[in-house]
Amino acid sequence: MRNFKKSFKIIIRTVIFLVVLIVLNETFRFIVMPPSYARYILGELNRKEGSYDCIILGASHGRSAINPYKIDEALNCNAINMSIPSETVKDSYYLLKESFRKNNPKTIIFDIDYQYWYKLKQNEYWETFIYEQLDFSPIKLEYIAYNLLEKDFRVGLTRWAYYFFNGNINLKENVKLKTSKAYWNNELSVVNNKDAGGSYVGKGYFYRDDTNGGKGKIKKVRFDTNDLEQEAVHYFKKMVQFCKKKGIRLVCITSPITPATLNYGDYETVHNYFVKLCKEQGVEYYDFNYVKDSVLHFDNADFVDYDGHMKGRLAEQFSVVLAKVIKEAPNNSDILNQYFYKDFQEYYSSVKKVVTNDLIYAFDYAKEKNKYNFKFKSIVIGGPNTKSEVKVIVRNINNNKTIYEDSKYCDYERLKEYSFDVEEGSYEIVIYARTKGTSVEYEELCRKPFKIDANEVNVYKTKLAVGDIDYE
Amino acid sequence: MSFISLGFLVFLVVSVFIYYLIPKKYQWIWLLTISYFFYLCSGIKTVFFIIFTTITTFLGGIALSNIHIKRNEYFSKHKSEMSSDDKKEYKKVTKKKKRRTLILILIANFGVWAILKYTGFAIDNLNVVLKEFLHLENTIERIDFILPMGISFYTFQAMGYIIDVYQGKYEADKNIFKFALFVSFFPQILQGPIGRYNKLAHQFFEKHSFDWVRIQHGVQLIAWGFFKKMVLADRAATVADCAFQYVHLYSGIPMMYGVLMYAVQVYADFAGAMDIVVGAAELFDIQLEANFRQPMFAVSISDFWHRWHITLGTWMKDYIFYPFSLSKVMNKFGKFARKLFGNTVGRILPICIANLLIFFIVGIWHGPEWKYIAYGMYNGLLISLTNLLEPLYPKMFQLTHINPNTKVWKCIKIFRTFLLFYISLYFERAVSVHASFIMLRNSITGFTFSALSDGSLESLGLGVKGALILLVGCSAWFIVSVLKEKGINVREAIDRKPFIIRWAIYIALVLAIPCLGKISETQGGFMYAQF
Repeated sequence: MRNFKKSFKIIIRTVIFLVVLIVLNETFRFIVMPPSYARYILGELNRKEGSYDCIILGASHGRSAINPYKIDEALNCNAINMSIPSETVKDSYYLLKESFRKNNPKTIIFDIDYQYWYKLKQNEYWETFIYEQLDFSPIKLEYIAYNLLEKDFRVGLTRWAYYFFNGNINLKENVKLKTSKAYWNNELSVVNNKDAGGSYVGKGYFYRDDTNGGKGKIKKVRFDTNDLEQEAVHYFKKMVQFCKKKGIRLVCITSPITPATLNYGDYETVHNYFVKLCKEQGVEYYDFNYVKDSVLHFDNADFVDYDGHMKGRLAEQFSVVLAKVIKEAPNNSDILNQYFYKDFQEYYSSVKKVVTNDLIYAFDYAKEKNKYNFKFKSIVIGGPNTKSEVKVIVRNINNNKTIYEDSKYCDYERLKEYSFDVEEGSYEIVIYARTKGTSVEYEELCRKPFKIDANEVNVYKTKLAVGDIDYE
Repeated sequence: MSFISLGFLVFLVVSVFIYYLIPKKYQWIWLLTISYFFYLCSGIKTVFFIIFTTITTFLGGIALSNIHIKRNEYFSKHKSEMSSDDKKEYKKVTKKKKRRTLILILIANFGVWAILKYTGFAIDNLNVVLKEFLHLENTIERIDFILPMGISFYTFQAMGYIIDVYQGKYEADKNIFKFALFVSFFPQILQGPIGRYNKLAHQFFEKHSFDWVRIQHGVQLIAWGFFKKMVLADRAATVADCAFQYVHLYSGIPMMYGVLMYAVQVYADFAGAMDIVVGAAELFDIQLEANFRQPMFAVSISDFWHRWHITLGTWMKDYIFYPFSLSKVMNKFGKFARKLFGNTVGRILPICIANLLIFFIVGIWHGPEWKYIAYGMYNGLLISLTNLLEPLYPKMFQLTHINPNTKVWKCIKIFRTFLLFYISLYFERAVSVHASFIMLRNSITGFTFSALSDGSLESLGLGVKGALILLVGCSAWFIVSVLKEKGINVREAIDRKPFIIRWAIYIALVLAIPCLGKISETQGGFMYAQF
């Protein structure tokens, strides 16, 4: 009897201790983690049973590019855009499965972003931000079984620690938002949507028009088909199998990205890979980067950044074209020839002018005996029928002294490198250019300030300025 | 299956739960099952190697036992007929047979280990030699093998067993499955400690009852291990990785800070792993040997190696140092050395050579790179030098009027030992021997106090907040170490506290792991798991 009492006491204490830990854990989760967009859109998806019959999946590009209302008009359906920034292919798979819990989709539009297929660097905590918001269901259990067991236990059990560690928390604000009616009614107002870059239209679509952040970096398109994220390939194939099993139509697309980025690097490899993959899997694929200019015209100005996030104006037009293609495709075997260039060469040949209105440059500098050796490269984007003429001037803003000036306008190859010494100070680089052979006035295409300041600079590492290009 | 994975925690909970549910006589079978399951999680192909070691060592042990039994049977049958010369001759023959069997097993297993681990290294060096002397470029293509999980640990553990059987310390195990459990017991397979058959095996086959206090202690030790790894080691790694990666960019204080952080990282990582291993074993009522005993309180390099990676050190001592230093060759050398250098030095020289050999092996055990050999030889040289100079210490103390028994002198010795260990880390962590010398040089030549305030320390990646967390964490660890050094069992001491204090400590420890734990961009495992 005494032993039984002792054991019972121990068991009770253990249970209480575990309950205390769980309560503390959930408390931290509640107060540390801000309301998330993933929670909101999943709530929208499952708000009313049987609401949506067309699901759009993808990442931030997809959220900017595809207006579900335009899809509804053309296809006579009820679409929802489930694209979430940083959504990986794995996330898309689980969202696809989740969308079948309370809805009965007939069409899935999957926007493929090559950046999630190659050299994707993700913090393990961030990787699970969508899983975190899934309702407890067999889908969530499947995610845990197949994905979380091999991860750091903190990722599965104490995901809030990520926010805690980064010091990026506003406890008061979080509690205020999460105890509000709007939060429990799943309203978007509680979510910080600065990254959306525009106003919310509805059904997961934002009309993006905020360009205050600047165009950002232009990244060279790199894609090694021998070194892809196998997880992305694996889950894509699972998506295809799932859709085939359910008898639903899977339409894979790639929404247009900024032409400047498209032309820097090896997009052709990207395009060819996905064409081949989708053909092998027996699914439709439409790469709208190759859409004919006569069908949909766009240039750099139609994007908020070089990463490829579309402005709302283009998104509206693109959505109409997308819907048209999806509608016509089943009965038009020639749709690819009608709407798209057949390959990169044909696309590139169609580019007839200097398409960038912004010269991209990069520089790095290293401190040697209090002087900085300064290097940069400049790129002017143009089609194969275009040659540009460019002149570069570097000026000290404080005393207006020109420290560097091209002696004449030069024909440019894709890259040209400069190197010269500068002191600490504030400078600007101005680049004038025009298409060679034209008689237009030279345009000031770019005027970029930059600063060399010993206090700001980490002199041991390369610093890339705003507007710089990621280069090797 | 990494120790830090959610899967490992689930695996542990389920395994322990079933362990105490099933009939006690089947508990060892369950341990064997889960150990192999754990091993198979690392890949099916590599399980072949541990099975090979298990079978060859088991059969070797049986063969040695059989030779011994046959010899005894023969003696008892023919004792009266045999002359003493006959007996000697027969003993010689059986000893030869035993030795051949032992050598075969050792070559087979160490051979596999050496081939898998060192082939690439050997080929690289061979190519260098061919290039230098015969002007042949890259003649032999480098081959790299995938290293089976824990091969350095289970090989040494199994070979320790076969040597003990050879020496007649105990009889060979007759049950291959029980022996397989000794080789593959999952908590220690990844990073040790290297166990001894006579201390470990019997524990597996005893009947174990559920004991709540033991379970609690095991869980506490595991949590403490995670704290060391995630809060201290991973945080210190940020600085260490930066300093060692950008060798040409850092010098003086930032470089020394980087190496100091590596000292924290390597100790916290390995000691943390050992806590998890020992704690996990405790959950099954298996007591593993300690691998650390507050090494930072060591008063000499010799003492350090009696406190750091203890089981590797004792393995080397028992199976290499003693046999080597007591061998005929070293006996002869000892006599020769005594003739040449006198009794004192002559007596010490064989010990010095044995130490150099030990640490050469310790170095190369760490990895197939010259820097590890340099690391090992550095330690070996220090210990040898200490041995040689030891007879002079009493005279030195007399001359300098230093009382070696004071606390101050002890502190000086501790600091001196830490400094010597600290210098060894330049070799252990740098990308090459050449880089380690550059770093050592830069640490001294680039020394300026201005580095303390010009932002270079922060540029190593750990801000003020992170450094503070590290400082507080290390302080807590230091306090625990001091208590342990004084012989206080910290877990039992906490048990005696009022429950509110106990719970506060436990909850603080558990919450410190996610709250203060460093989150790396790419989650890493434990450092010694790569061996």
